Amino acid sequence: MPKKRQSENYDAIGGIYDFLFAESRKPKVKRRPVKLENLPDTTGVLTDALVSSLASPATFMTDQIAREMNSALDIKLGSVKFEEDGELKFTTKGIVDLIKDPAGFVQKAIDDQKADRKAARAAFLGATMMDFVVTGWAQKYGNADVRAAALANTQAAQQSESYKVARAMGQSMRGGSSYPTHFDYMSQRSLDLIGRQTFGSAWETMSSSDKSEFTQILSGGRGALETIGRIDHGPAWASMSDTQKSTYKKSASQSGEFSQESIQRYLAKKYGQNEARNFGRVTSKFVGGTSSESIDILDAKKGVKLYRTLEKQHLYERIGALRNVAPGSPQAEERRTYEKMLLAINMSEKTIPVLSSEIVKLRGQISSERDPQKRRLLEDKLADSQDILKNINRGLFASKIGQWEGYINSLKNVWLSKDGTGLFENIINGNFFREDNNKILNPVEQKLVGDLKINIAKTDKSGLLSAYNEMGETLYYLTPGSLFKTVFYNGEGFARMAYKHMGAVNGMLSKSSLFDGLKESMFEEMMSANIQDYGKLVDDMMKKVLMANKGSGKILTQDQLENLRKLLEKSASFRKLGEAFSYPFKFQQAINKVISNRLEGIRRKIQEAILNNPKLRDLLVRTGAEKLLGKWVVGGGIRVLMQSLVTAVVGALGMTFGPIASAVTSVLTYIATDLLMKMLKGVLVILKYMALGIVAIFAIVLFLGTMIVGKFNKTNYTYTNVAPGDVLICDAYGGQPIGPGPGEPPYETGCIDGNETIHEIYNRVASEMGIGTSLELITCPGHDYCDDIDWAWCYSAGSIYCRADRIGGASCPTLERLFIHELLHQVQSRNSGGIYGTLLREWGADYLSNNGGGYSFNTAAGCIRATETPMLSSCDAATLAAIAQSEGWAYETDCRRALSSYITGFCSR
Amino acid sequence: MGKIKEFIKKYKGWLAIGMILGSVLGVLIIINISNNRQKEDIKNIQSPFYTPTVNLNINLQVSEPEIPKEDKVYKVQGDNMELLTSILQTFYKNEKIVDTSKETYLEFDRGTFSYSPNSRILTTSFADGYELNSSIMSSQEVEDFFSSNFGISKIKVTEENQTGEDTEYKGVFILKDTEIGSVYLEGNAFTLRINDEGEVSYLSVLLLVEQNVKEYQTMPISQVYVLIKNQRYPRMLIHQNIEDRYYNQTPTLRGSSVISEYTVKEISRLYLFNDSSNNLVLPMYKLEGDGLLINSKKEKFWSDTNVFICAVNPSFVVERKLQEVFSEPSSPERP
Repeated sequence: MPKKRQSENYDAIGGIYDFLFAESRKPKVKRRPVKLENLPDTTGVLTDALVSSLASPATFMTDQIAREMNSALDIKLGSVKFEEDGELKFTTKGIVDLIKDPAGFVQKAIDDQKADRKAARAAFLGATMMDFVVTGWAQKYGNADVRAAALANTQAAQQSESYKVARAMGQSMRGGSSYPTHFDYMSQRSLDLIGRQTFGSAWETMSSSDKSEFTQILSGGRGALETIGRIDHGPAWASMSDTQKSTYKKSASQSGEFSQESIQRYLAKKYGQNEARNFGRVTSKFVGGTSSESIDILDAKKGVKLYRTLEKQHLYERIGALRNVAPGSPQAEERRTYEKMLLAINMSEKTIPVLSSEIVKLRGQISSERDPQKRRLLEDKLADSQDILKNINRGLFASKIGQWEGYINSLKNVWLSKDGTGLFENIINGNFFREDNNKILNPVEQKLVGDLKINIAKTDKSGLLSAYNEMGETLYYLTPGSLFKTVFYNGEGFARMAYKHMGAVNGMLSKSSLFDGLKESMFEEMMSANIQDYGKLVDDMMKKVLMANKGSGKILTQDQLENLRKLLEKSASFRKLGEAFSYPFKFQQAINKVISNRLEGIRRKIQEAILNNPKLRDLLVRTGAEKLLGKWVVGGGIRVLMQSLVTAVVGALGMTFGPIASAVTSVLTYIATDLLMKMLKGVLVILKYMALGIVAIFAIVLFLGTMIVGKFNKTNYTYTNVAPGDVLICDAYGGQPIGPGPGEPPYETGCIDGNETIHEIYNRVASEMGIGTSLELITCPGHDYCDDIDWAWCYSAGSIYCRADRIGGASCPTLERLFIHELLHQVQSRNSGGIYGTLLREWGADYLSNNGGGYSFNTAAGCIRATETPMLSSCDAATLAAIAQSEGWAYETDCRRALSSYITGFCSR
Repeated sequence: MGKIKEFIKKYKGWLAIGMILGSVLGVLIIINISNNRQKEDIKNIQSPFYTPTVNLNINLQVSEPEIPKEDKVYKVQGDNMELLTSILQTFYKNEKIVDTSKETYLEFDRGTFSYSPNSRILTTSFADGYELNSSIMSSQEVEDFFSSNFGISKIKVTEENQTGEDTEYKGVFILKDTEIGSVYLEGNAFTLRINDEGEVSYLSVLLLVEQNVKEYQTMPISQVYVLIKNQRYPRMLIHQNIEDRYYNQTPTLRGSSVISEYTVKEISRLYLFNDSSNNLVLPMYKLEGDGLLINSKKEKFWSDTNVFICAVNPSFVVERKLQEVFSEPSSPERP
């Protein structure tokens, strides 16, 4: 009988899948292996393993595969987070249980959560111990000293406030946490310190509405956009559309928090330049020089850094103010308290050797000091240092507890499970490679390829451990679970190969530091999500490599460059393969995203409901806890919600706690969370019946709707019947020519009021200045540098790039000054431009080009042009000219420092 | 047992050779692993200087100093706010808290006070001299001055010059048993000028104290001739003096002048702090010699020039790029 011809649209992957599962159902003797003949020339263990699986289906189709399959098909429909680790998941697999017994379903989750909490108590204790120690220490002095020290000039010298300061210090010492509830007191204190340093003494007497408004803007709270937008745009704001407002929001903030720049604009318009400048100064270290960066006071790293900088600055100021007080006086004692606070805020493992040597030094000084008054001061200092050292050691000891608990669990559950025989099973089922299960000699760590996290060998200095990790990584990708995921779920094995090939590319590019930035960016690009055209990506990367190679004196030979291209192409191929084999994963992700967005909307509505209560809203805004509420909207977590409310209430009641306050707060929050979950049980039972009704209605509507929509489409959208491949032309555009853009840039265009062309002026100026850099006129959009030039006319890089459309209509003197300005940047970089900074370089180029760059500079005398700079007392014409050209010797002169202090920024006039 | 003895007896020669080869192999593997580990342990550092955009031909006409294979690199930590504030208070009786994150330049009736956070250099001058508890008349008193005011217990005076009625002392600080200076102070850590009454008239000082300096790592270093083979090897050029007619040119012509030849007359190896971008004290070479500058009109000028080059083996040095300069747009006034 002739065989049925296989369809051209035969689903290859589906075919493999059908084959494996069909074979697995047969008795062993009847299983049909695939003959491994005439296979394409394949290399690599992954391909071998896949081929072997096809050859021997019985070894592939195991219980583990069935579990992986279940997991792959189990779509998370939603979740309710308890806190960092715990969440109640609603998945397709669990939905039957949920419908059958909603109360039991929730109770099980609560019980699991309790068990987890119990198991994690040591880790929790370790992570928060430094917090406890510092809070306790600060509170110890709090009753007598801290209140005065940290709040010196504030009107609210109350015990509750001193507790808040102590808690803020404690929270800033937490290690490894990124959870917003852990930083509530700290952020509140940051807000207060920023306010104080921005407005000075006016902060204390500021009206509560103004204070709330500033707090709201700083914490990116609800309504902040309206306030900042209204001040920034004036009356026009009211008539702006939602889209325009949303665009404005994007430019002024990042994920809800406003940038330094936009807050400064707000301050300048509402209060004045001084407040804007003060704010810029206070937050400059925090944003790292980029004023468009947002200020997130709850951020685990930056928020902590900001708080500590602010608190230290505050303490330095207080210490400085009391420098000359009489020894033994109450003021001297107050200064000592500030100094103790400074020591406490500097508490860390790194300070141990400093403190130890300080203690030895102090002992020596005490024994040789004869003056009893000085001796007493030294003894006080010694006692403080010893106290701090003792506390640091206590905190560090406790913080190790959680770490050891992790090791013991790994040993018990992975390495020595089932009397030592479970290790192999744990390797096969993948538990061995999971960071949360195994902390001992786990060979892999997770790296992101596209949207997928994959296991990659950890790097280690020891050659032996590196080899072990590499072996472990290979082993993981040969486990049945990983092979299944590679072919049927997320393509992780292919993603891993792509990663490895890029690793080899990195190895080749490590030959010269000239490739340093490039190799990292290439790696990042190849591993990024949503790559449209892999061929173009590889071409672009090779272009960059060739350019850098030229610059490095051709360190890579032609053969090596060809190898590099091959590696890039292979990496791209594996990325493509990975994408082709990850559709189930992507589908699952897409559904999760839709559901998560919906849930965010629901949370937003709850937030609005809470904030509709004016008294509660006022409390939340004033204490900065509204920020926590915002975090809950974005990330969920019932504990975040509860704690935002607790923070507000505690702040309002002025409650005082002892050093174990954070534990008490945590327990209270747990109880509140459990209560809320139990309430959820009741709600879910009702929802069960409501949901059944909704499903029924939805089914009826869908059935009827499909029929009606089909009929409507047939009548109205006839083009849906056009055969694929046909091109339909809209008659309305029939006469439009399709051709090139504006054409070649006008090098030979003459300038206004003169006889020279653009090129002639440039060549003359460049020749006088002895510079060989060429001029390149560019047309935008379309050129790579268009983004860099943006609003400007020219851009000084390897060439001088100028926008043809902008300089085309300029006068001859303007062009001459402009070219001098740009070429002076070349002179500066030839000298020591790097150390001078942007501001002085632009000032210098303008100073010697008769303001050719058109910049204005902010000075004590107002907004001036560079040529209007007065002759400062420590300067002379020659030194100013040398500074303008970034000459090395002129950097460390009084004139340069005076100039740097005089010119504080750019301005517009 | 008997069979084993017989086996050993029969193949004792081969067994001995095998054991020797095995031991040699073992030792080689251990040495190799240890070398690799040492190399892997060294963290790359960023070059203290930018890569120049023009070539410079450096002629070495002096013999190079003996150098060790490796040398120490130090990391600078902490800021100077307290020290600076206390110095300002001591010298000018001023209570201002010095913000060490930005440039400070203060003028007083008595003189000026300025600080650059980038180079960590404090400069102060006194029109009528700053009177000390005990006048400075010798190098030993210079050490006392730095000890009582700056917490520096050991210094080394490298130069003592008489300029008019003033005596100028230059020298380095000895921190962690290492002589440390700054690129911007000709490799010294201070320049102190004392008037004829033993009072301070000028002081420029690198603000580093023992507690600020931590040992970072030991790194292989290279000889000068290896480094200068690359005519664009990162360096810092500081002209000490150029012919007078150079200064009489227009700024445009001055700007067009490029150093094209450089003849080294002296080489010294120093530990220098460059700037706060990488906060490192690095072993460096200070080359002192004659430079030849040529402007766009092909006019030539002789200069006394110092060239500073980082001594660390280039394979452990990451390039410092001049990114900012090449990304600055400018917008002229519209005509």
